[in-house]
Amino acid sequence: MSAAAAQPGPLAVVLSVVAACLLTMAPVPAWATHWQPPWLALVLAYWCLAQPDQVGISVGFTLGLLHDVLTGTPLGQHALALSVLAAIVLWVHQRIRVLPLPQQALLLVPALALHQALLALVTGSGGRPLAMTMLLPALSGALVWPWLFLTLRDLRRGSRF
Amino acid sequence: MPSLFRRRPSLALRVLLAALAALLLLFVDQRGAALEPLRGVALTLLHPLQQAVDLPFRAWSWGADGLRERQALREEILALREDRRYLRLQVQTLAAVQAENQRLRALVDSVVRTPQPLRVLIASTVRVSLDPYVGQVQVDKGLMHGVFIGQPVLDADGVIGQVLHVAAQTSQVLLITDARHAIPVKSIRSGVRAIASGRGPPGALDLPFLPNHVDIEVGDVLVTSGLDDVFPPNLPVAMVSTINRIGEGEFAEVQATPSGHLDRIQEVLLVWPPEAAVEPPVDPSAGPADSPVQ
Repeated sequence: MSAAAAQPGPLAVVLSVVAACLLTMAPVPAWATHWQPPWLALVLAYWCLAQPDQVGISVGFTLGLLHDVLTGTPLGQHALALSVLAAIVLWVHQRIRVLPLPQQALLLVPALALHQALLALVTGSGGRPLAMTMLLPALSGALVWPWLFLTLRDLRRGSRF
Repeated sequence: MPSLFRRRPSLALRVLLAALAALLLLFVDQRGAALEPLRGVALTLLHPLQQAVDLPFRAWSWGADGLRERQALREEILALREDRRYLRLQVQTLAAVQAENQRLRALVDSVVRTPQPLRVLIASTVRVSLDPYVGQVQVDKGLMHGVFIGQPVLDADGVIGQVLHVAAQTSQVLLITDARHAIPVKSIRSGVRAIASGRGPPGALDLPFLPNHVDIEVGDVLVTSGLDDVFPPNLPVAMVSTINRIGEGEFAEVQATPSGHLDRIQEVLLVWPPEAAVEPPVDPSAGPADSPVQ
């Protein structure tokens, strides 16, 4: 693998982030709202695995702020959750990236669950009731992970923007 | 090439810093509106992104409209014309009723309180689904249309919420069912005042702190009391759905169902409060002509 292929410009990252934002905001049928995967978290996790030197906690923080502004949640809520998620993925990235996709997805479940729990805790402190359904996105996120991983890998390899 | 030996602060330290920064932001954002301009600017910058989400749906409905048959359109026009005639008739009777009402009021008390027509603006909800745990929708009117934070939002049947954040072309509306929202109401029947606070979507409203003996019944219509200087008075808010009076000297558990259709919001009305209450001069000729002398 040439150095250029290993280090694509930030355009691939930006593209995938925009796509994740669109997916986050895309309307879904009512039954699916609780199952909507945390797209930004998944994209962030991918780039932390693929390029731990470029994408890390500060990128996670920024994406979190973006999410908060887009969805009108209290500023800092998603920033907190995504920063922590980035840290976890960075911490284990050397062990995870060599695993087959299903195992990666399985290992992502607790990380995503923590991400959801942080979100819920912050909203809960605002007086809102906590519900176990808040953990569903961790499961759906793990389910779409292999598909997302392959898509983003193709984007990263196929492009030298 | 990133060097293997580049010195960076440890992972733990970095995540700690990020978490602290996020918590600080949360704290500042919750206590006051210091970050509100920042959020407005960011939302405005992100507007194209939101448009992009909406685009396929717009294209779809545009195409569907274009393909609709001529005949169907003609029928629709005819039906609308008929509707319009009927509505104009209704408006006329309404005007008569209003005039009568005004005369009667003048009789009852010399202070004529004409119900000033509220200035309203119709906004559509932007098709973005927000957090299912947050009672919030986004509408397509913003600062450019004069929308302001705290502005009351209604639908055809009642109050649905108030504006929470404003950007140039869009704004976010906090629904009355959100756990963060509370609205002062009164019962039309008994005049009892209460606070209706949200229980989180999809939901009913709670009326906490009402004593057991309070005069409230299932089916009572609750309207805004106007005590908050946010919502104009006498707009329908909800209807009492359940009452649970337990024990002596305790508070009753009262719940109400919103009158507005919060579960399928499409078009909403943004309302401006009546202009600095200009009292219209009392028109002496408005009094009853046939009132008995002495």
